[in-house]
Amino acid sequence: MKHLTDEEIMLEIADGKLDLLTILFDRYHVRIYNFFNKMVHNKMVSEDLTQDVFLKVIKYKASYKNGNFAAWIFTIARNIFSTYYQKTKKERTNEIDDDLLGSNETAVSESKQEELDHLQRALLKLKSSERELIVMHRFQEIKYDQIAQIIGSSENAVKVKTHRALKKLKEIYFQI
Amino acid sequence: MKCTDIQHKFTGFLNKSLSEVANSEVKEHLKSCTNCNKELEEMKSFLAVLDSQEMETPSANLRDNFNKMLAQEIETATPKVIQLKPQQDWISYLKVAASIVIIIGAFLFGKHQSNITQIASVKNENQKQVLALLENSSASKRILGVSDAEEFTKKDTKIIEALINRLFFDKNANVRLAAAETLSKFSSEIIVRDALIKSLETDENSSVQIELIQILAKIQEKRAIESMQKLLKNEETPLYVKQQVELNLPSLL
Repeated sequence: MKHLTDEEIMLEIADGKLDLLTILFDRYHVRIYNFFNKMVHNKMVSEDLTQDVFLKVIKYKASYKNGNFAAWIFTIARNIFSTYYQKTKKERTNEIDDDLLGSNETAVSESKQEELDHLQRALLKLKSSERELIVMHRFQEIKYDQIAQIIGSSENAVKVKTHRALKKLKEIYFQI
Repeated sequence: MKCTDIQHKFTGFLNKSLSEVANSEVKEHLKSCTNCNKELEEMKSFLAVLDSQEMETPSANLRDNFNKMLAQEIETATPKVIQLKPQQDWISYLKVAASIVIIIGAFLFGKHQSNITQIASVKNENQKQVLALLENSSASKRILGVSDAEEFTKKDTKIIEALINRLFFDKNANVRLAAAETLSKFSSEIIVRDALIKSLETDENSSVQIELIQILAKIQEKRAIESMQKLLKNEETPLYVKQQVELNLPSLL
């Protein structure tokens, strides 16, 4: 079974062989987890959301129609992120006003870890739609045409938007 | 070619994924433009940082939970079938039927009972939560409590009393404002009406005053006429509050 492509395995799963999901879990869970962790920067939440993705794969297995599997599973991940984001947004707005947290920005970094933290902070300052483009394109190395498929846009639009997001991130990175 | 057009191509240029024409366009431009050279250098060093990011490994919990979830899904997808031996004599059928009736009866009765207590306890729980919110030290939490209180009925006197308390004593004007608004929904209660009138006489914040004037006019509370006229006569009342009174007073007369 290990030599099958993602797509072939997913078709078997859709056919009822649920135990094969283990193989897809092995192939994808680290990527999906890292996608969430870059988006929300919280390990516990990212693990929960990753688990949700695989649960949804089972629930919606019948809707899988032989397309690119990576694009399909990232579409699910993205929907789960957006539900999570909407839910926490309400809670966030309730906390503004008098419960403002002090900002904990620090000076420009020196060591490697600090550099990474610094990047993560910059990343969190982007809009989530921009952040997800960078995460998918740079970190997950998903091709432009697949991203276009995932977010329902054209390849050219994705190229332009990713470039803009990257430029914006760079500016934030050198500013803060 | 403008600089922005060239800079758009930088990521492709650095990845070496540009067409030959575009590639030489960028090179040509870079020969003469210091600004773009600087931008290219920045982008290069930034992408180096970006691409040095490594994948993190999730904790073992993730795999454990996944395995549990999968096992559960497989189990529900393939329910076990247990064959019952066909019973021959009718007495045994009757016995089985009778015991089923008793069990279902007992279950339904129990369920009914527990539903009643459950509903009551959920309600109690909600009330406690809202009351706690109303006393929270954060103003935004108190406002949240005030708006949650709308869902209660006028029988929940504790909630109404807590709201009136907010209207009179909260130091934050926005909380008082929200309390007034929520209280207007309970305006059939006489204590609520009294409270609204009283607070029009005492509250010094003009936006709270305006809200109260509007509410009192809407619920047609004629006893408020006196305090409204007082506001009109008072020299310290801001002009726009007076205007609000003049606007609403005729509907009460």
